Amino acid sequence: MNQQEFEHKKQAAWTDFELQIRELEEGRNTPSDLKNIPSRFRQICGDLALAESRMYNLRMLDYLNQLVIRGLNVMQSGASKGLGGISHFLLVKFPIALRREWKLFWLCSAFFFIPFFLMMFAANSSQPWIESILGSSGMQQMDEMYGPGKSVEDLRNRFGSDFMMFAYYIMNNIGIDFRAFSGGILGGFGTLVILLFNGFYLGAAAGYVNMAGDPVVFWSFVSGHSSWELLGIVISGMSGMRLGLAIINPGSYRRPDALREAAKSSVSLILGAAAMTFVAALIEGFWSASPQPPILKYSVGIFFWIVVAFYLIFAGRKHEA
Amino acid sequence: MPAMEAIIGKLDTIRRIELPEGIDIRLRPAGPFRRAGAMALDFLILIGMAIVAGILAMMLGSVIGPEVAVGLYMIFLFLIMWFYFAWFEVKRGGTPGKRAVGLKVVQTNGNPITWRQGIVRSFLLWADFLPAFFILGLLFCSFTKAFQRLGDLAAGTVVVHSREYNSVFAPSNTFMPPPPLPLTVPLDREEQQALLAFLDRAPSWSPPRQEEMISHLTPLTGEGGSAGVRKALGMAAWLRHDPRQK
Repeated sequence: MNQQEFEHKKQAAWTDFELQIRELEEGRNTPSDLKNIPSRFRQICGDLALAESRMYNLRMLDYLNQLVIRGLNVMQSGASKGLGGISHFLLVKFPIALRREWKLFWLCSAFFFIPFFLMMFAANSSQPWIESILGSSGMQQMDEMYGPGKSVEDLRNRFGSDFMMFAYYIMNNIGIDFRAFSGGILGGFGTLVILLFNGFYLGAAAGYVNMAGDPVVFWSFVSGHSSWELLGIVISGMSGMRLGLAIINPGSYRRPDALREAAKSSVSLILGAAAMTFVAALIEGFWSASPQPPILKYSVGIFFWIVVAFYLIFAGRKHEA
Repeated sequence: MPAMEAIIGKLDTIRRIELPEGIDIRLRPAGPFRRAGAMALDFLILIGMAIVAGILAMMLGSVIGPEVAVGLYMIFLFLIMWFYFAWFEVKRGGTPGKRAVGLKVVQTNGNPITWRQGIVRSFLLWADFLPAFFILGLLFCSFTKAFQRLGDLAAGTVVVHSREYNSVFAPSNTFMPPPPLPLTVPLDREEQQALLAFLDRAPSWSPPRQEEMISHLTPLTGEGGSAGVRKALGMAAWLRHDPRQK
């Protein structure tokens, strides 16, 4: 059989299959369409094998090759699993993935909290450090927000501005999480910079307010969301470090393979970190600036630290192998 | 001929992937130039979306209050900044820019990508952008075999051409293959395939390029220049039409 005869004989089946595939690709199909897809697909595979062994021309081979790939993609697209449901991810998969990397947790906590406390406690004795880290505009901003006699509530007296701040925290803080993940692929360097910088900066800010502002205004504002937000940064740092370690120390794998494996587990970490930062944005937007007595805000802050600790340590235990 | 295979493996960017159905599919990874074009289109689309949403937010602001409108706008910016690529690549196989220039994203085994892979690619775009204008991405794209940027390497994905080469290989009106010329020497399968591929692709090359390529076949054709090309094409035409070959 020569190519023309072959093409003539099969053309109708190919065009039919192509139409069916296109409908599926564009999402307009009924379940009854699906029944004969696998058998038709195998038919096309057979045709491609024949065409190739008979060395028909490249145009036909390309056409059939593309048809097979599209068929394959259509049949596999249902198999592309999501994250297995948001609640299952947050309550089981993420805490398990986190505990599996507990060494990284302490490493990244160190990179973040050591500079943080260093700057905070050094504030009184080393003001030049604070000045160089915050800059004059940063100090001015801190004065406006947490200076003597100020209160955060004054800046936000309407629902609208609470919502705007909530949106801003999402864009800015979750954006930082994602960059900490992304920067990890440079051998962990980008992640390290982000962790250290945020540790130094937030520590300097806290130290500056302790020294020159009104500490009660500041600490009662940050206590509510502090647990979710700070651990969110640390965990996003873990996701980046996981990528970076695959580059620095791939072990017995080739680097690209080590990187691919690391990426699988670090996606769980970064998405979990983003979820925690999202919770922090909710609290920071709608609770932290509300006019409540400081003692209540401190209590809520401590309560959330305990909740977060229990969540990260115990959630999903019974699913753990 | 293992030596030959090694050479082809180095020259050819096509990835052959064996399916359980017992056949190979061929994926054609797309090079940095085509991908840069797609990226430029996507950036224009993103900027367009940001502008349109900004105007909408301003109009909406007078109804729901300016702060809420600005908040919604910031959330929208956050979403398109980090999830535009992942969303379209997982849902549609490619962003609008990629689809417009005939590209799509698949796993290295040819399957459609998962959410995890889409997210890894999408977030690592930021690292690929460093230090400016995708220099890092461009470097990795240029020096890896399947043109993979960092995000592709980490996700295990590859950007491939989604359209067949029909237009390139369609016989042009001016191209008439010479009359069949019986082969005097038996050729093995691989050699026959090479000769037939030359016949199929000849119309897309200029005559001097055809002569240059076929000059390697002078032991077979016995002639150089355009006469050699004619003879080689004749032999290929004979191979394709000889009933004994089928």
